[in-house]
Amino acid sequence: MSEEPTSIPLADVRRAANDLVAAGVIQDYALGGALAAIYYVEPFTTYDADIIFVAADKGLTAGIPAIYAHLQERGWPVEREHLVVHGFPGRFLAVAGLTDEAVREARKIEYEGVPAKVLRPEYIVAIAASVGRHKDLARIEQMLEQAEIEKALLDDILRRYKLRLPTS
Amino acid sequence: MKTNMRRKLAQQPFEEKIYQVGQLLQLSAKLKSQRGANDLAFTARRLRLRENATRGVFADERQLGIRRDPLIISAIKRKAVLTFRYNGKQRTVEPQTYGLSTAGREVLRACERSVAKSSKPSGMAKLFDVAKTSELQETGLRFPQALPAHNPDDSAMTEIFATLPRQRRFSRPDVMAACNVTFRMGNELWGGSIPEGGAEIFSEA
Repeated sequence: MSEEPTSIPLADVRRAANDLVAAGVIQDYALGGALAAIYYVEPFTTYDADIIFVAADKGLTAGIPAIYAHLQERGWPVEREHLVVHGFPGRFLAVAGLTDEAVREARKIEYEGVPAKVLRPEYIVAIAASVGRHKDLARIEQMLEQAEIEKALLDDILRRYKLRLPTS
Repeated sequence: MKTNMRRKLAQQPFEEKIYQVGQLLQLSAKLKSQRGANDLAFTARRLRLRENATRGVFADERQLGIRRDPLIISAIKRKAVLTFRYNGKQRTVEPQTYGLSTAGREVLRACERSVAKSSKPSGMAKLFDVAKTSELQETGLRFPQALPAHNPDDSAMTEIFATLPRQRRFSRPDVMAACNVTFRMGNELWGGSIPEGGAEIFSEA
């Protein structure tokens, strides 16, 4: 990326995503990754926004080339496969399995007057358990400590997707 | 206590938290640029300190009469024969090591060539007090290498400005057998090979 981000232009990122929904390029989306976790826990540094989307095009590319082509056409700054707003990159990730359910079950919120969706904390924990990197394990710990989690829902998700939380 | 504080932070409005993440990013960018600037400043400061220290050492040395004579240093590097007046006599020497003596005086370890023996080295290296030399100059002659007993870490010196590399010594009979010239000097057998006009001299240890 050409410049280092010094703020989170989240409202702009969501406007871009809503624009894609309105144009029928994607069906639905929710905020995922670190920014979704920050919705539930103390703030921490992150350098990008993950937009998890349900593709309108169910082909192999999940419509990703169309997404960036549309964004560019509408004047949104795009660098390779990132929407870059004021130096802050937003990444569009197509749903599959667990993330598909997570987006469909996402919580509706409003941020600076812009409607959006954010993944529920139980799904954030389950997705982190499925990915399993060090930072995901740290996220699970943080979520379990600070977020209000419906244990029954989390257990159900973990059971259905055959996932296990790390034992401390 | 800490967990409670973190939970409290977690309960802030999302907008507030996103604003704080932005502040964290700004802080991170500022620290990175500051660290870069600090690295440059640190390097510059170190260079200045080193330069000042070197200047200081040279200034102190000048006050003490230490010259680090470039003519002697150059002569050692190029194995050039030197001549100078010393204690009222003209000397012609093969310089071996130049440095500071344990008494803090500039000294030259050199092998004196005897005029009587047609400019051949005596085989012994003497220590000359550089402050007592005069009319120092190169003769234009060269010598092949250090004396067999040459020690680059001269124990008479606390600091060495220039020295010759130690003479290559071989004790292997096949090396000596390969020599096309041999001769005895004192108790040592010396051998030499003269390929393509150059000379390599070996001694039997």
